[in-house]
Amino acid sequence: MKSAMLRTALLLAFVLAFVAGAQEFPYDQQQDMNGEPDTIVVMGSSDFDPSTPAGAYLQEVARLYMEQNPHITVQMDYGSWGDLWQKVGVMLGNRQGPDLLVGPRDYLMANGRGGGQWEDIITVPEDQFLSAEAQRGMGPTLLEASRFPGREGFMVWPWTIYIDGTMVVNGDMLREAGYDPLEIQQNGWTMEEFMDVAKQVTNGDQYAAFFGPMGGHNGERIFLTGLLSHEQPYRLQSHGGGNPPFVDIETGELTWDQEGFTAGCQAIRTFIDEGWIPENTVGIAFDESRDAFVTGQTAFSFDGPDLLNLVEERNRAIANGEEQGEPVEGFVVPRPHFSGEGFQPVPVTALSYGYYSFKQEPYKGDAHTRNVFDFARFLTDPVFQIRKAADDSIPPDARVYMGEQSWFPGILGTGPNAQYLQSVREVWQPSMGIYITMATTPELQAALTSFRNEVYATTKEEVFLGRISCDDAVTQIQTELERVGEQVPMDQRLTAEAPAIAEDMAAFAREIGQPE
Amino acid sequence: MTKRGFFRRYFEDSRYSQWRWAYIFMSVDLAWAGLFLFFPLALAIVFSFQDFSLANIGDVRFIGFENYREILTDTRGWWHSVKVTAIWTLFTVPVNVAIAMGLSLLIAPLRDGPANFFKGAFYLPAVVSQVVVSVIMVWIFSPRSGLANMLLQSVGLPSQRWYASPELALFTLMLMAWLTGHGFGVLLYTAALKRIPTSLYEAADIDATSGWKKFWKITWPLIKPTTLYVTIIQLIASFQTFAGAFFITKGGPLRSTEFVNWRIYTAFYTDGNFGMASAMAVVLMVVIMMISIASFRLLGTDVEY
Repeated sequence: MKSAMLRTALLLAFVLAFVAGAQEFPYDQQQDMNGEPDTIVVMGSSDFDPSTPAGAYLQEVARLYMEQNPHITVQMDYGSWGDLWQKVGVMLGNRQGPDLLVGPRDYLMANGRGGGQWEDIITVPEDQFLSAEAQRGMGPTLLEASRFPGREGFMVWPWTIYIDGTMVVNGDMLREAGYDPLEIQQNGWTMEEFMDVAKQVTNGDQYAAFFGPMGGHNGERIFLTGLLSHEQPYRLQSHGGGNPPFVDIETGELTWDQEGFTAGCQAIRTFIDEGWIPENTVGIAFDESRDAFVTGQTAFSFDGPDLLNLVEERNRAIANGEEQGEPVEGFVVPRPHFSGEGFQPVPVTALSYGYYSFKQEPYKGDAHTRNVFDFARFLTDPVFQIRKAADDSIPPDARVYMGEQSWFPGILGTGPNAQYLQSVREVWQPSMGIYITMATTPELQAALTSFRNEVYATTKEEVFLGRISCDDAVTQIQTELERVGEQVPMDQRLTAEAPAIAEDMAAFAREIGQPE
Repeated sequence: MTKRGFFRRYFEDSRYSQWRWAYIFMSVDLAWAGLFLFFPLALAIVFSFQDFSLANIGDVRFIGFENYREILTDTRGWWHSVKVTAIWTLFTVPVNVAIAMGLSLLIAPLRDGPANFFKGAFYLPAVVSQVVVSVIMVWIFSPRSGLANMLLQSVGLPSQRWYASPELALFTLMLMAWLTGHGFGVLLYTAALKRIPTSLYEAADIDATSGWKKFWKITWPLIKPTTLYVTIIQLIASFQTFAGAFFITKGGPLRSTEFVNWRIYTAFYTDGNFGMASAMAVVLMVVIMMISIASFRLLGTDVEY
């Protein structure tokens, strides 16, 4: 009896070992003579989800690659946006980042995560893996990802660009209010004009200017309009997400744009007090606010152009009789700007999405790294990008820039939104928030992270909720910033690289016509 | 002695035979706990003494108790979240224990069929994903179009902003906890009530004892071990509360729902500060252990098993 059990157990163990081995190297039988079996781990959000057109297409591209390179297994992991960044954080913490990650630089190197230590976690492209010709071919998008003096491009492959600093509007509502969205696309608009539309479209429970979730969309972004459009030296401007840097990297002083903040603050209060933002929408979920625009309940949404995809999706569903309601004609336009002295149009910034390749511990070897780079080149090949764009599986804004090689004029069609997004090509500015962070010490970064979370964000919420006036908000923020100054003395605020970074930013400001 | 000899002797020795299979079966659980509980716990303790974040991933340093010092002196951050969690615990634990006990007292006299139905119904939220529960709760408490506001309006009361209001957000999450957090307690209490000998109540009836007195003199002492257990489980769960902050309020508005676990989460995932987050987690663990021990001492002194 016992020996029978032992035999069975041994047999079972053998079968399990065989199955496990076979699963690990499914291409063992087919490997070519030149390559050892290898697995490439690629992570992304919905980019690889086969239930979406874009994801299904990318999975197909990966399958094609594996067919051509049978010794390679490409493992594409995907999940929700939040899950992705959670997983990546943990993986990097264990020094086991994926071979490739597709994402925006600003997320990977968010405030508080530093920025000065990139070389510790990200594989720097070297000549042996990436030819000079290939690097040149990456064009202006790589520049945005890597325009740091003396540094290599850390975003190994640019993939798409996400535009920040624009918004979407309901064309019909604007026209009814006497404004032409096409003209706004061309010439921009002022806060006064914006408020005039808001006033006209608001109609009790039926329509509103927009809803006011706190924290990142609508309410927050109208608030930031003041900061973004107020003229400031380039190094002190609010970049990307819109939060001021709170430190002058030239002098080390802790400072911020009180005038710009006050302008935006007063605007948001006007919108709430006048009922253009319904009071019962202050603090609602983002999705509810986006949905209100898509379904034609609100005139504006401070979302990126990708919201137009949802609008189009619903319009198609209505046309097919799958959904009830009126279609919405959405337009992407510049955000409104203040018109007083010292204010300028809100600059459109661009965030690069691209592939990052992470260092591995222990190092998996040059052959593996070469395979990873080879697959990334294959995946970002212009041929596939044309196909993606033609499939409508790239959001409208994402098709604008993909590097010199992969820029395809005309692929957007000739619609006004496409034309506007093409024109953005002439004016966009890179998001420099991370670059500024790189000029500050970990001590200051930590103190400013707490300050942003516990004081700055909370104070803005207090304004939203009508707890304090804009003047009180300014005083509160200033007092607390001074406290940060006491915590981190002047000589402990900036890194040795700060002067070079400040100089580089001044040179770039001159180049793009921004105040130094 | 060879290993093989040792194991053969162990397995063939009748003195150990009663334990043999017990250890084999336990090994699965022990391996599981070792891999997913004790190993991460040990790592977290190690990390808590390190300056370890995404910003210095290439230069992780041992810094002794520095993380702990920072946490315990952080009045605006850590102690604020402790305060929020303490208020949450104070209002959710006793109420949930009372609700579970009250429902069980109502269920206990029922016949098996209806009793099982109600036990199943009250336990249902415990097995439903927190995501689903949160989505339903957002639907109920939406300030703009929620069911709760519709009900208030139908009786002439003003609408509330619920989770979007700094005053009501914590209360709204408490409402959710009260509505969904007592299923496990109901199961335990109904089992405990069934075990009380009916002869005790019959004797009390002969003495014409009032219902209230019967509860205090018979029921309460005999279900006290269950109360102790339910209370401790609820305490631990309340200190670890996270789902409401994560899915609904994001710690706001005005940080009114910034629980300790939410703070640990943001320190780890948003700020990428693994050392600090680990230290916070260790402090939380110690606090939970201390409160559990105190609860045993306080409630367990005259428990009749």
